[in-house]
Amino acid sequence: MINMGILGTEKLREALLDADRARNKENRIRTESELLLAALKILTSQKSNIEIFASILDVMQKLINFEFAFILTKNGDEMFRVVAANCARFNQIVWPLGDLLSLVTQKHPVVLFDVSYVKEWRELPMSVRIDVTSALHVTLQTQAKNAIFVCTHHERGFFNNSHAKRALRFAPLAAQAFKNIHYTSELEITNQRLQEEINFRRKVEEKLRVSHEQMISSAKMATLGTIAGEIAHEINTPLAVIKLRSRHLSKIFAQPTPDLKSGSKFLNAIETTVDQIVKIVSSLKNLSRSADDDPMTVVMLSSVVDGAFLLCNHLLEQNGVKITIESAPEIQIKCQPVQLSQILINLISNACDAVAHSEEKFVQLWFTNSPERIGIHVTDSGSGIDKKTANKIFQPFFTTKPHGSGTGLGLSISRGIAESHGGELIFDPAAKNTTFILFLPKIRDHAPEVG
Amino acid sequence: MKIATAFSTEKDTIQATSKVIEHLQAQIGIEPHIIFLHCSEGYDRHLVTQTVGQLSPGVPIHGGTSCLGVMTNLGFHAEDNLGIAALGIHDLEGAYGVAHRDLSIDPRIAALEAAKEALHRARRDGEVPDVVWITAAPGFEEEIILGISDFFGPNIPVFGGSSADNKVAGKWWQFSGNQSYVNSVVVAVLFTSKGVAFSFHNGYDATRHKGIVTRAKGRTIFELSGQPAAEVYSTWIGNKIESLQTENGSILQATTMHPLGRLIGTIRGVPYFQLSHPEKVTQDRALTLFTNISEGDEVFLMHGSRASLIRRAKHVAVSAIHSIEDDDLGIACALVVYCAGCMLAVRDEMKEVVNSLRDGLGIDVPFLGMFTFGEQGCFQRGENRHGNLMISVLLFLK
Repeated sequence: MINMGILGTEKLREALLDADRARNKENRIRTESELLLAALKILTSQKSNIEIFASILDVMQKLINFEFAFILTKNGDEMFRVVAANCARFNQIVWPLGDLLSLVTQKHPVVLFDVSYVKEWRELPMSVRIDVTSALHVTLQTQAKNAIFVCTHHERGFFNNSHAKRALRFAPLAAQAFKNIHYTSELEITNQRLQEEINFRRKVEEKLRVSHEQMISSAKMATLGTIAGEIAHEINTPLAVIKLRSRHLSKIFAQPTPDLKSGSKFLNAIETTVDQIVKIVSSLKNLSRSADDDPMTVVMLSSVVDGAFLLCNHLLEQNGVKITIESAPEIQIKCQPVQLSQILINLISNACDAVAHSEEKFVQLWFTNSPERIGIHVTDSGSGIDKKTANKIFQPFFTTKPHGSGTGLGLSISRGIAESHGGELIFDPAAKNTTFILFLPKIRDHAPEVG
Repeated sequence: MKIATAFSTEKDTIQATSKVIEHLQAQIGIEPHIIFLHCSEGYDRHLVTQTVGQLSPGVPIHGGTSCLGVMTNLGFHAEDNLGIAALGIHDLEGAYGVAHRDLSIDPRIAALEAAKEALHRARRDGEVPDVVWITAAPGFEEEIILGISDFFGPNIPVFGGSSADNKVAGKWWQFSGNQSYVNSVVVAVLFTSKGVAFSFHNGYDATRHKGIVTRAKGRTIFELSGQPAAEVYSTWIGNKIESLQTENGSILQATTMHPLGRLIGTIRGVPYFQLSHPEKVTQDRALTLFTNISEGDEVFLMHGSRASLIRRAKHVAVSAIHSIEDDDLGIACALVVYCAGCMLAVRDEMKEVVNSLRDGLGIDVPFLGMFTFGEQGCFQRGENRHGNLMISVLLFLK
């Protein structure tokens, strides 16, 4: 057996103590690292923020071995309130800023061996202080506002400065968990505000939509008003023809031996004339009804153009305006036919008004055809529109007509309808005569169903 | 944090005290927040406190007498058994409070009350300090530690030393504020700006001799394993203990290398002990100690050496340094409690002890050391104990 002597034994003891201390330090660092890692995993997990905070508290609990913990934040009224706690009874805490919390917010952890020595603790409700003797207070590094982590234990002097150091090392994690809660709360408030804004906007949009429909209806009725007199004349003429032929029929059937062949001829003529009236009335009826909810249907372009022309024809004739309609291309378009008719009637009606006092009066409808779209040009004998007026002409309520003669909505609404069809309505400044062009997209897919 | 130490061995109390305080003030450049002051019994205690009070009014003073002299980083100061020294700390971010209570009635309650008042004076009511530093008259140290634990709870480290005179003749006193007392406990609560580190050791090993205390009261062992304690002890050391008594009946010098030890715990299988220094042999062949002892305690005969006592201070200092948790922190200063019995045993080599401390702490680290009749400290596993022939080092970090 080796006799080391007292100095040898002392050295051995020192070496063992150092080894023990080093191992303890290594254990502490390893434990803290593992807990840190666990806490980071929790923070990056998909759990709810409340769960994350609870998990972080679990980690800190392993490190500090506290019994209860809560987080205080200060609001504008200088009062600290609990934003998170591992026990519901702490939620009632309202803590005025005093000496203790001032010290803590200055980044000094405060360890109390007995909270009853501190006025701020004494002033808390007794129900909060049950089983609370010692406490540790650490400020959390949050950018949002002052936040303080507080943990407690029922044993007097349970916490010491070693606990405070450990808490300080982990305070950023609790701070991060707290931030998550804070930001989630803010996000929820923001979402709520956003939802309220969306609801408000929807209501406004609905009102606008109703208002827009009413405007379209008004504009349409104004157009109808403009052409109503002419329509009446358009109907009166065939009615006169019918009346005349009815008289002829009466005379034929008053004969002892009626000329049935002639009678039949007159009857056929009356029927044809009635069909003509029915067609006019039908067009008028179509135009006057609300067509906003009409489905998009595939129709021949020529049918829409012809329908519009039928309603405008007498207006043009009455005003001595010569109309020339180029043969519409034999293509189909997808549209709401009544809406589209409204655009054309509006453009023709405007053209008619524009040239009413001109020496040369004409309106021309002609077409351009590109691979992507079809252009319907409405040209009148006018010499164009000055630039300043052209810039405003599509604005709602802008009109060059005498007061009371126009709503100022026709072109604005027409452009809106064109755009809702995926097309556009423009004024062509380069044209020699006043020209508006309605562009409509061509149907891309084949086998359309003709409406 | 500004720190300085100063000493004097001048015979005139006022001159010596003035020199120490003025030197402290000159080095720090501003009034310290606390002064630790120790001196040998040869000075007039009233003049010491009066002088300190005049030069540093309002500054908390903590201290007491030290056997023969004192030591600092500047040397061992005990010229003609006279020496006075102080360590001053200016620490704006810290908080320090000192208070005392008389021990005559109930030492445990006295310690509790002193701790409470010291804390209040530090303006940190309810808070846990880094460490509690005590100086007390010998005799009630265990009760004092209990009283402090009653107040702060069991997890507060307690360090300090019992005030000592030169011949165990009761000529010890304690300083608190600008007053001195002969039978008081002085408690300082230290809230330092950067924390503390510490170590509490002895340089003794257990021998194969051990026994159970079968009859004891207070600080007297009447019987060891059913036999008169002095007889058992004599057998263990191989010498009649009575024959080693000095003129006043003390056996302190003779037993310095052979104290009794009680096992506190083990670290990696290595036991560590709380030591009790046999003081006298009574007529009924009992042994009196400088610590309390209880029936049922197992005591070991310990063994030390001069060489061990000389080197021990450095080992304790290094051990304290190794306990610093934060590697970024340095050492601002240190308080060293060195058992008077150990000092007396190696008195001629005290210069070497000081050098070993400077070697361990760092040549530029200021420290103040006192020689005490009982040492209080916190072992590595957190046990606060009062022992004899112990050495402790408390480091203030920066």
